[in-house]
Amino acid sequence: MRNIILLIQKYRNFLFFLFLEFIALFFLFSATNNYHHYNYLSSSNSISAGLYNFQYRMTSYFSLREINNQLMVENANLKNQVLNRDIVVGRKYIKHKDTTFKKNFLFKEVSVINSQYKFYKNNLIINAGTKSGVQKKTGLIGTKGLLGIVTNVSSNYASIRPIINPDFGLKILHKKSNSWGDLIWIPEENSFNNVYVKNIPIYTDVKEGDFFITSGAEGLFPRGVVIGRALSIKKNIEKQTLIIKVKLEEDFSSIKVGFVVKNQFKEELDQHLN
Amino acid sequence: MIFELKNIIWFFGLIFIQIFFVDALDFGTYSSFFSPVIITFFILKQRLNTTVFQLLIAAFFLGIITDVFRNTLGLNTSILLIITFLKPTFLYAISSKEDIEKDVDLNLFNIGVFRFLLFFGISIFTYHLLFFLLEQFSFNNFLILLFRAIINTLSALIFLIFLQYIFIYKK
Repeated sequence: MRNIILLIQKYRNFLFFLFLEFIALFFLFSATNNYHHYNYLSSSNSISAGLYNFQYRMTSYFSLREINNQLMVENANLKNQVLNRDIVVGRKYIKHKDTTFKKNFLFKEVSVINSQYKFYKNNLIINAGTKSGVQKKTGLIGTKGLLGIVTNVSSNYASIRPIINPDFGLKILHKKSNSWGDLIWIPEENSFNNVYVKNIPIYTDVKEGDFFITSGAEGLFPRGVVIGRALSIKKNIEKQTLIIKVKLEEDFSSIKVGFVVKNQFKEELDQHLN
Repeated sequence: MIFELKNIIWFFGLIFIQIFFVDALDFGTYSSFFSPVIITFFILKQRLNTTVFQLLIAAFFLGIITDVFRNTLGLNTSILLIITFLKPTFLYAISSKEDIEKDVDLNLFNIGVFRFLLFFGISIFTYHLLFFLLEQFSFNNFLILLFRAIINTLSALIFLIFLQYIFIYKK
């Protein structure tokens, strides 16, 4: 017994190191493998997100002109769409309270208070949480295109898993041919403004500059939100698929505003998906 | 003592600089190569008569707080603990035990430029290499990873030299 105590005393530093290291590695692997736990130890907790929010309020003033321009461009695009649709369909055909015209998606405007873009597993923080009705597994879109999916919510803030995170995965569409593809971001090969689209069949006619859009299949995003344009196209002969490098529409180094997408019929859709 | 006021200011100051200055720097498309970690300085600069127990506790909390901000729970903490444990090994690999006084902070001005570059260089390089390996959890693209580790080590050293000239340098 005395020898054991002496042994422990001799190696107490090493044992203490092992103990702390074990805790750290436990945190690391349990936090990456399931994202339901550790709400308080993620960056959307009130203290760290509060500090990020403070920084955002200090610095956002200097980019107001840019934000205004982004919003104006988006506004013009939306006006284009809405007014043109009015002419095609005609007012008398649109009935209020008709169930076929029931609003599917609700949008809530938020500010992106912190955007990581140079790390391996990037992460965004927005300044809206459960108090504003933001829930887990809802989508976030920016003024130009897709941003990410909400993974963690506290009462006033939420953290987002953006496209530029290796854990992000989504089925997307090639706009011209309606072919399905998988969106993948590989940290070693992609920088923060491009992603890969894989598994599109080799016979699909994809050209440089073609748009890729969301499919709307999982109910996270409405159909047709722009993701990016094809930058270069390679062929994978063995798998008979195309590997397409896509330039993202959104510049993750300068996002300031976004919209959380809430699908009103998500629960109903989930019953059919599972 | 590690728990004196000056050290506590360094502790929170380094986290602040790391999160809101170093991580916020924008280098355009090359940004992904440039993510140096400078919080190791707090552990490396501690005097030699600080006990390992105190150092490990400080490293644990330093790592956890940084991880919470960067949303990489456990990653910085585990590597920082390893560096803390290996600190004497690195130091005595480049100099003999008698060369450095027990009760002075290990910084640029106390241990000399050459030893500073070697000791901090080796420690910070090990930090970045282990950090990227654990983050990626595979040996794929090892050369790119090595390149990133070297770039980040150099930039972290430049940062630290600046920091020491601003906050420690006395005529």
